[in-house]
Amino acid sequence: MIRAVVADDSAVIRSGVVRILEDAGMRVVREARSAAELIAAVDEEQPDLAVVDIRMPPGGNAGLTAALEIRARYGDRVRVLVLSQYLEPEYALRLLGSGAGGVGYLLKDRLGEASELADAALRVAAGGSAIDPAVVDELVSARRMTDRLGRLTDRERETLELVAQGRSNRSIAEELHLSAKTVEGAIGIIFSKLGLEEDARDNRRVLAVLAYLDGGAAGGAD
Amino acid sequence: MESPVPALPAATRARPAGVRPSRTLLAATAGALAFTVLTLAVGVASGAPPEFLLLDTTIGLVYIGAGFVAWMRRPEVLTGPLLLACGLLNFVGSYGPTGQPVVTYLGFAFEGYYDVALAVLVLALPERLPTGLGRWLSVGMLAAFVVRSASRLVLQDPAMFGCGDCTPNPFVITTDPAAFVTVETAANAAICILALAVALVCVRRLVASRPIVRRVMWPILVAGTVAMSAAAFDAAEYAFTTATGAPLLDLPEPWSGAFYWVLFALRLFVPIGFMVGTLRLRRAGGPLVALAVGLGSVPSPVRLQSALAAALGDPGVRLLRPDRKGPGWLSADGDPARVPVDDREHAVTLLDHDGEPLAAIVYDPVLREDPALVGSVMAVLRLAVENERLDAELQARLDDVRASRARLVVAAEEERRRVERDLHDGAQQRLVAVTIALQQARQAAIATDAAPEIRERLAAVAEELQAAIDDLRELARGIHPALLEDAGLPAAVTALGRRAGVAVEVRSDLGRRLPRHIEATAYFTVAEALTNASRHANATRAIVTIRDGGDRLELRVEDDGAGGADPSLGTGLSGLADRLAAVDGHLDIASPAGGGTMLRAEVPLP
Repeated sequence: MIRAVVADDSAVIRSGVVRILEDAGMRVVREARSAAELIAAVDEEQPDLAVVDIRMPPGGNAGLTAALEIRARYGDRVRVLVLSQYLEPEYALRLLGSGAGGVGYLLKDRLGEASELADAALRVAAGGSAIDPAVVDELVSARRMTDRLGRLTDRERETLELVAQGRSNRSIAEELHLSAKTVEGAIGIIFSKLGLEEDARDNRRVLAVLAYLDGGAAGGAD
Repeated sequence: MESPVPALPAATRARPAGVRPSRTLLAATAGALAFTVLTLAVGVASGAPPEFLLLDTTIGLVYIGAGFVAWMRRPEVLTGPLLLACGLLNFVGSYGPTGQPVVTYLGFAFEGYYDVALAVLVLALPERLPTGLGRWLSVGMLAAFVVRSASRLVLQDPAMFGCGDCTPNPFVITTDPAAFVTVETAANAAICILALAVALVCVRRLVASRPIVRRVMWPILVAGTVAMSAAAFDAAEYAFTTATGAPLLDLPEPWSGAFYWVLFALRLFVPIGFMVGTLRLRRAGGPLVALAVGLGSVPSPVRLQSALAAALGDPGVRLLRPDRKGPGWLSADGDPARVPVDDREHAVTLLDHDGEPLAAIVYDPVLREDPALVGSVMAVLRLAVENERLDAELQARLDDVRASRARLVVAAEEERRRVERDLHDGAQQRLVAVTIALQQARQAAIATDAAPEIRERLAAVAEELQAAIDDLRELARGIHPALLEDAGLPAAVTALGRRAGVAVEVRSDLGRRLPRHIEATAYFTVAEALTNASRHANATRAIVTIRDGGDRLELRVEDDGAGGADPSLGTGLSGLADRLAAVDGHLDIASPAGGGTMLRAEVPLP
């Protein structure tokens, strides 16, 4: 059974998250109301998954900082799903950049669809990635401004977005009513069209796609 | 007449007023003129030679005129009264030919006192009374004259010298020719020596004085030298003739007569010298123009001081001003200084504004001789100092306004962050809670097999709720993006670019964090520019450049849109200019129709 820690300073939201996770068959071993409590809980419980509110006491994006801290301390052993009000790809990219596998960035309003949070939590707990569709969408639409995604067909772009969300080939195949094999082939074509190297590891693939999409907007930054 | 001196300086004002000019002066002058007319009438009646009457009256009138001018000009010194006294004393002894024994003998006894008055006058300059050696010379001269008068009055009778026809002296007490000759000779010798000494004092002052003293006083010192030399010769001749019975200079006629006329006329030197000096000083106001012209902008204290030195002709002039940071005074160079007492050593004029001192000018006391020049220079200087005060006041007010505007910018930025935080932790959080509750309600509706209508309505509510959440998120981000505080300007601008509706390329070399309000100003500048690019200019691409210039931040947003943006038309761009001005930045917009828009903003960095 997946052991989870839930951190949010709002009791209502915390209990909502706990309920969704438990309905999905996880066991919430500890709840935390601040970044410090979260770090302590993770240190003591060594859970499989931490679901973390991005903004928590003591202030600012302490949840994000704590999530990155957990990633730095435990690597892939404790997976982290960050819940956020911010539609900012920057944060998702930061999380993905924090190490191999098992991270997610989901908008909080996904709590309104129990299945979305549950899916994401399960995916992250299993070592995959889960990036909110709205975040991916923002990157994709920015990228389309530069017109370089024009080489992709609509179906290919749709597939790319699902890849960026961290979906597995099988889940993409289900979503698009295609066979897994077809999806695999389609992804190969997309990657070669975009000049990306395909990496077998799920989250590497997500990071590569997101970074590619982000390049459209952040080309000259730094 | 002296023109009224505007803004009479305080230190000058504080000095003793001296004799009041108006009534006393007029009375004295009127009296002197009446006496002149009387003397003239007596002279004409008694058949005195016209050339003598003419010269004698002229000398008297010139003295009286000069005395009047001097008294008007500087009522607080004795120059005026002394000149007037000279005019009157000149007539003593003019009654020789009247045939009135009382008047004749009194005249003979008390003639020549104008030389005492003249000595005091030249020795006193520029003070009110002679001091030191000058005082001893004055007193000595007066004493010698008094002794001579006494001797002439009571010891002398024409009969002693074989003038049997002459009118006898009505005042004589004892006729002792030997005693008279001794006293007369000694007294005249003393007068001669003392007059020469005074002449030498004049010469020495003429040679050894500071240039400014020479400049102001040379005419009267030259006149004093000449007049005192003449007086010395006069006394010497009396002494010699009394002792030996022979004339001192045995010149043949007509030289002898001419010589005595010239000697007589030399008395005119002093009042004429005085008038020349005064008129010359009146013209010395010329450098004032230079001073006034030099005041175009607010000059530095050092420049002001040298302009002052030029205008007053006093290279030693010092311009002191109150130390704004403390109770003391500062020199023009900015060193701590002390304002000296207005006395013999220094003349001090204070300029104030409503009793608050603005400046103190320390100058050579000899310049008191020229109150018109000092008054005009002070009036011009007052303009300069007043101008400077207003300038400083304006600057201070401007600094206040600038500081308060900067505080407002910081406060507004703080406020935006607070509103964003409140939205995030309040409304947004609550809506998420509602989302969860709604989701549970929908599950319950399914579980209890509620009517499809209810399930549809719940689904519709969920959709509306999602829209509200999205709107609120946009609103919060528009008020103040959390990413800006979290990740800095380039990252926030990059995020902005993704949502801009045009393809945005961000080029940044900014590798540090800036003060929050500057980051926010820069962020919203770019946001406004990108909004204009996509909404109004129909641009497809934009390049945002962020350049860290060390002491300033440069922002450039270039697009390929329609151009023609005019800050005077839209509130967006003019609001932007205001916003940048509030952090002392500025905005340039180049937007030729059809040629894209280039917006360039610069913000100074602390």
